[in-house]
Amino acid sequence: MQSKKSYILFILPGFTIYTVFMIIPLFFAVYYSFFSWAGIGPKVFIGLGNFKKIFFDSQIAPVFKNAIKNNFVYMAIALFVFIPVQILLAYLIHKKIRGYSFFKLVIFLPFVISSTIVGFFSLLVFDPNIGFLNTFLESLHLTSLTSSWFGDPKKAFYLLTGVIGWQGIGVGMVIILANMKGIPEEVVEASIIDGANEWVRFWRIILPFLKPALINVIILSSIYALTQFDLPYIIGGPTGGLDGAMDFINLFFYRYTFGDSYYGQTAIGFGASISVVAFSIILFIAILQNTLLKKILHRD
Amino acid sequence: MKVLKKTGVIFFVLFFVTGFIWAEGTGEKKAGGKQKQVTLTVWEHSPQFEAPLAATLKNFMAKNPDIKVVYEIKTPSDYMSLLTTSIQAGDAPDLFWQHGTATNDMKNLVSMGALMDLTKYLDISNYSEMSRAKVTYNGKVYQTPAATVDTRAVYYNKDLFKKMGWKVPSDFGEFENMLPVIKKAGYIPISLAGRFNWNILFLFEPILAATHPDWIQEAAEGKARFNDPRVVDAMKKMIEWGKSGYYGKFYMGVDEAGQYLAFTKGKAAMTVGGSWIANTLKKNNPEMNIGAFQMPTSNGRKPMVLTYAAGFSVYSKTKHPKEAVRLAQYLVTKESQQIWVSKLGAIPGLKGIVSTNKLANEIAVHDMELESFYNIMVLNHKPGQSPTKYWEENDIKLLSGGVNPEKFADTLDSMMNYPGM
Repeated sequence: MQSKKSYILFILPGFTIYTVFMIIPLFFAVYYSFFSWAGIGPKVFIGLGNFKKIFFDSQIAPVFKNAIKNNFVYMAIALFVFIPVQILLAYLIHKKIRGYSFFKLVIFLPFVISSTIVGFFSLLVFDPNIGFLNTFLESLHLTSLTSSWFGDPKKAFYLLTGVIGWQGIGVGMVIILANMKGIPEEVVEASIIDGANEWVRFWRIILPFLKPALINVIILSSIYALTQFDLPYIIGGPTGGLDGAMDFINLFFYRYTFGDSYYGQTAIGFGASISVVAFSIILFIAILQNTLLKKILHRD
Repeated sequence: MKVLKKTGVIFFVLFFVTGFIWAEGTGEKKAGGKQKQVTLTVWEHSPQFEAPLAATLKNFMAKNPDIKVVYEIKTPSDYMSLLTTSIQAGDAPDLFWQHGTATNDMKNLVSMGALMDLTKYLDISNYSEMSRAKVTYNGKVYQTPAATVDTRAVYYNKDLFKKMGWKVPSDFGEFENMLPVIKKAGYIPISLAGRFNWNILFLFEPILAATHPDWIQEAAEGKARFNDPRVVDAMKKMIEWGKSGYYGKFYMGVDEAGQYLAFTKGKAAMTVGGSWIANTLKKNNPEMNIGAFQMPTSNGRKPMVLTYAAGFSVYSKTKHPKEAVRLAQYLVTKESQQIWVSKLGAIPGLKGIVSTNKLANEIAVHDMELESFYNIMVLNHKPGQSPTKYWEENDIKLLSGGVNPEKFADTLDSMMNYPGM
């Protein structure tokens, strides 16, 4: 009985904070989503009007669909391109290739640089007039390769994805590397004695041992992909650049909820409905991933 | 002698008692004054206004020792959220900046009873009609007007112009003819952030003002439609200049910082933007000799697209209404406005106020005042429709040729009311 009470006392502060700052606002968001409300002034009940606007309004629905599509494409790139690269980088550093300490530092370093600075770096590199890249190409007389970069909707999304990846790829790498260091040496040595080559060792021994880290990295990458905001805002601007090539759901939420930096008109009711939709999507994906990954983890 | 002594003693006693009482009285007054000193809190929405606010409040406090004013500077992006939260909590600052009638915020703040009616307290008759309109809702004044105006201007590299023998154009034809000459000389005629929606608006407004000022005058009164051929013509002009390479080869890839840097690094001969970027340009390259002018009309007039700045509202539930009103009354005085204009380096919008900033004075040379295209959309849109949001979402596409100007103008038109028609 005494131990049960202690247990409750231990979780109470965290539980209270979590409830006040996470659970209650969530219910408020659901409540406000049924109103047309600027955040001040009268609230007008409109039922599912806000949701109808998100999914069916001729002006807004295409913007929303484009933004959410970009989130999903980015998530696919994160899962199928970034994570394999993170595993590869972690493995090379684990193998202690020449200069591995330097590479580890260089790969992780962009993560500690603020997004504002990363945005500024991208200006210095990709600006068509004063950026390094076009100037460099012009100096090599390769003017046919010069481009407007972020101004080209076909390239902008992938360039932005590259910049985000460059900034964040070190995090997953470090998590996977930590897991690799926990792989028992004797298992690896035994495989060497048994004649397993590098490829077989990686697929049959290293990778299965990485399941716990990979599950974390997959979930974290997915959440990160669905909650992108800072770099798309800094690089793409509030409307996500030409044709919304760099638009994401959080950017869409931000500009419709809080207006913009010049005039700042707010639409809290509509914003709440966007947040409810975004939350539902993230929750669905998180549950789906969790279920699938748990099955994979316990399959053996 | 005794009588004299007695008189002397009585005199001294009276003197000391009177002196004591007087001194006590003064002390009480002082002590009372200190005890009664009221503290007011003021919120401002952007760090760029900190210096003028601090200077004018310092002057106010020197003249009103019974009032202490503390200010808090917020950031524009979350300002309204913070303000509305504090109002809902009943804990708003005594005075706060807000957008005025430029947005629906004033209407909402009035409807929730957050603003004190200042009509009987403030004499703003010397302010311009546009300035008064910005702080008046339903015939009542809810805010102090501001003596500064925001406008758009063509900034140019004076030294480059001198070196190349180019002259500040006196009419629209000269301006347009100058663009291919600059391009041929190897410079970007007008640097532009083609992938930032606001920068496109701040280019479009001067083009519209220079090509069809009559449309703006009519539209401000709700007498001209948004799909008028004159609007479409201005849109086409803006697009045509892009296609002709007058914004540079890859302008759709340039962001806001890139636009200003291309100009201040000498790659572009001109850039078009708001009056508020003048300081940014100067800071980017203090050595640069920057000039400014208003894009002229075909008959040589100099139209200026104006948006009057707004000042401060008094919180209806302030604990110190008398003192808050005194501060509001001070803020509308020429003395306060002069401090504000001088410290901000802004363009004055009230007669008798002068700017010491040379560039601001160049920007302010005009002979015609016009309402902003964006503000007309804010003022006359249909309920539940947001032409401003449509513009913000799609002007990049308009510039790139991704949307037909006629169709774009038709969509805007479908969202507008025309009270003058």
